[in-house]
Amino acid sequence: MTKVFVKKNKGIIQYIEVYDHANFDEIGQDIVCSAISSIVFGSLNAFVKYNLKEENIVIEEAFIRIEINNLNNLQIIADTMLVQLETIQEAYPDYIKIEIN
Amino acid sequence: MLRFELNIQFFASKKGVGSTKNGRDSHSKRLGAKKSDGQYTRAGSIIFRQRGTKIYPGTNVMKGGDDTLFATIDGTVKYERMGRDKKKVSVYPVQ
Repeated sequence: MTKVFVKKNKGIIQYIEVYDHANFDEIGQDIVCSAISSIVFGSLNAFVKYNLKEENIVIEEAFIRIEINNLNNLQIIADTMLVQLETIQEAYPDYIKIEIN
Repeated sequence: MLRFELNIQFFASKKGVGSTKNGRDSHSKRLGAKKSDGQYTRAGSIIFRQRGTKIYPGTNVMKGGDDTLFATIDGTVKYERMGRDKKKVSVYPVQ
């Protein structure tokens, strides 16, 4: 199950972590993983387009961490990413879990 | 400009799902120190991945949602004692 951890402070997103394998199916056929990966990598490129620095992004094997400041456009991108991941969670609750803290 | 190439199976298990009986990928082999004592690290980099708090966050180190410890500044990693039997990890700016 892929986990999404969102750290907020007074409603402002501080960082998002997406980690662990979806385990819906074998690699190459894991459609839930594909959906999650597409949303996260697409969002990474959107964050960078709006000047998020490389050091705010950590990528390791099945682990992505994005640290953002309270710039409005970065918050909108982060919120959009979350809404999309929540949409997957509604359809596949056994394979992705979002925790907002 | 920095560009992330899509890995559409980034969060897919590398093993066959059938091979992990309960379908849970233990993640254990990826825990532990990612930066050693005295090593230089960048802000945002992971220093130590753990479940629970084996190592505590020290100076210029924060703990993420999955208990991962990561640096908040560029600097040198320092593993230190904390109290009688605990350990913490700090990052100190390079002088």
